[in-house]
Amino acid sequence: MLSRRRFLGIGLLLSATAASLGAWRVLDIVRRRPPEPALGDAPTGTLAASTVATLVAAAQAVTGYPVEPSHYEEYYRWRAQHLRGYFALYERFAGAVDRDAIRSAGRPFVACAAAVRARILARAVRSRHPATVVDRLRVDMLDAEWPTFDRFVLGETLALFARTDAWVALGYHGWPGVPRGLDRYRRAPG
Amino acid sequence: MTGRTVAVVGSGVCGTVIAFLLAQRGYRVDVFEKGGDYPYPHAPQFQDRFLHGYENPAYAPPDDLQGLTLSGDYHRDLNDERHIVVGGSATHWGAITPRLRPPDFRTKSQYGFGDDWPITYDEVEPYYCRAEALLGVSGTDADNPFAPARSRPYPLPPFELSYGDRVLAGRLAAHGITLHTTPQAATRQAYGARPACQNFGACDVCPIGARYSPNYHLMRAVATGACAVHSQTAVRRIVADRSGRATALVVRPDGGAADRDHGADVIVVAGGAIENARLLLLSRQDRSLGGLRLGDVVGHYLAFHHLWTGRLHYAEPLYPGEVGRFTGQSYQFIDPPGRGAHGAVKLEFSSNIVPPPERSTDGATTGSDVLEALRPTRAQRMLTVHAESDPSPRRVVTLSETRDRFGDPYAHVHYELTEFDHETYRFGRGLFERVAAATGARRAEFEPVESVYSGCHHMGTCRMGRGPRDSVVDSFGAVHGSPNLFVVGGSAFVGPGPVNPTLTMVALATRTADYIAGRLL
Repeated sequence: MLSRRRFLGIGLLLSATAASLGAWRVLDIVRRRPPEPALGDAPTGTLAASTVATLVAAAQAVTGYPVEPSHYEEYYRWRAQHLRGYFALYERFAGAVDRDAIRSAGRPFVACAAAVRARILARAVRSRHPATVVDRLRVDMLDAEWPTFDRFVLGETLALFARTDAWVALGYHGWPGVPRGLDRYRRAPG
Repeated sequence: MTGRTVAVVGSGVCGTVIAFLLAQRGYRVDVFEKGGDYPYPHAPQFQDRFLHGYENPAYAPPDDLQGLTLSGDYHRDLNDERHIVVGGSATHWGAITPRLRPPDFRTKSQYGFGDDWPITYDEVEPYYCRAEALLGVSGTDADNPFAPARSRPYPLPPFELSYGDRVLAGRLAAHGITLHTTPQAATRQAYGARPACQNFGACDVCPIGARYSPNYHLMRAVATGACAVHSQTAVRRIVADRSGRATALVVRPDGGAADRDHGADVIVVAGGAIENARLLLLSRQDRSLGGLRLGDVVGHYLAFHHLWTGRLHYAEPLYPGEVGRFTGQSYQFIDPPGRGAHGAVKLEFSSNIVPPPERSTDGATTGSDVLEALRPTRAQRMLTVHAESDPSPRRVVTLSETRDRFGDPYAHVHYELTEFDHETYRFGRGLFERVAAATGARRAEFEPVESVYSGCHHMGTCRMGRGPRDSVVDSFGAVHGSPNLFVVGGSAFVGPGPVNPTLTMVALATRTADYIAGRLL
């Protein structure tokens, strides 16, 4: 049977060890470069309709533009079905934004107002270049997936927007990839 | 079928044209292509790239079959300039199809640089007409006073100038510069089995076949029953007998355990200027294969076009990219007074919309960021100086130290810019500045000379001429000393001239097909 003194000594040692390990971990996080976001190699799959709806809602929120959803749906579905890593990523992303939405607004992400959705997605931007030690720790411990969401979901969504709806937003008759005919290009748009 | 056989190395536009024309006449044609199959029309490729944001690796040849090494003044990746698939590089091309002009065939006697071709414009002119009909070229000379004479009209009407090009054309005209429509192998109206262009703006992977791809005629050649395409099959050597007559190709299918000989009555090498030279050099040095005799000119006189691009900034939107086709060009400077001291130049107004590096959409966090980066490009135009180079023996294709999967040396390309080229750059830059001033550009930036780009136009290396002392082939593409071995395409060019080469390549290939059918088979 342990004496009280010995018991306290072991407890003190364990606490000091845990604190040291925690401190080392903190130092490690602060010192090292953040890991590059990685897609992973999970199998392909068919997205649930609710996941596609969440992704399109995210596209509308991050672009701030009433995008025509069909080519975003096509994009996400195809990548989930053909490129490893995307199916799991999209499902995780949809789950993450839904959890945040329910916690903050009491409803799923797709049912939230645009401003609420944008606020949830802002975690991606904050994860991109954490400015302080506290930010670095927060990203590593609480927002570990968000750099990956930022690059492979939101970044790719903005790239798709740049190739498509952005052209219409800038006043063009249509974007490259849709049949625009050989008449309107001879006149200034509008 | 006639029983006479033809083997073609390469399934690009020239190999395909020859295969199609000879298969139609009943000759048995086998086309060997190192690359893999490439769907046509290119709807799957269009969907991959435009709808799915995906560069499909299935269309890239294996890394251990497509290399080359590079030295000198050219700093771009030449491997990116060659599309090693069934259909070749013209599966991705811009389809601009001007003709060379009469002086381009005699630069030595007329201007004192380069060499004269052993053929004149007048001899090629009927074949230009046939090439335009084959490719379905849309165009007009009505607005281009600098176009060469022609005996037949274009098969299709032109793509009219875009809104932005019309604005610039008006300003340029006030300063004595003509901007006119552009002849191109894209269907302004339905043509044969090809539908009219619908302005998808995805021209390099046109989903409907409006922009010409060689696969269109390759399919028809196969449909005759007289033509077979052997994709993913490398051609390693040409075998010749002691008299120099070509007898067979040594080929190896992808995954094949051994080489095999493929015999033919006529062999046509159509793999592009760099690979054509490489194949001939490999065959020449392999004495075990008989008597393929080649002079010392093989590989020399490699010539690129020299393209330099500048950006013009305007006060008002001109909406580049509303149409995928390039609609406006100027041939006004393709025979300038100072030609000989420098090269001739064609001016191209691009339809591309390119964010400037400082305003890239990388790093965008919202749609507003994207729009902010792209908005200025509505008021910008890219203008390319498409320049003639000086055929120099110092530009050469040899065999490299690095080797492919079979142990065969890759090609090594050594390319230098000469004083003629630097003078041409200065001339072209002066034209760019003149256009900027004439069109009221608020700001203009032009690339430095070392950013030169070939336009994927690789010419020379097996130039035509009257004898083996200074050429590799005659005007029909027949290798001197090997009457049934032909080299076609840009590699047979004596000089590049200032305009895109493909129409001339197809015209000469058509002439070669007539020669083969009429005199050899």
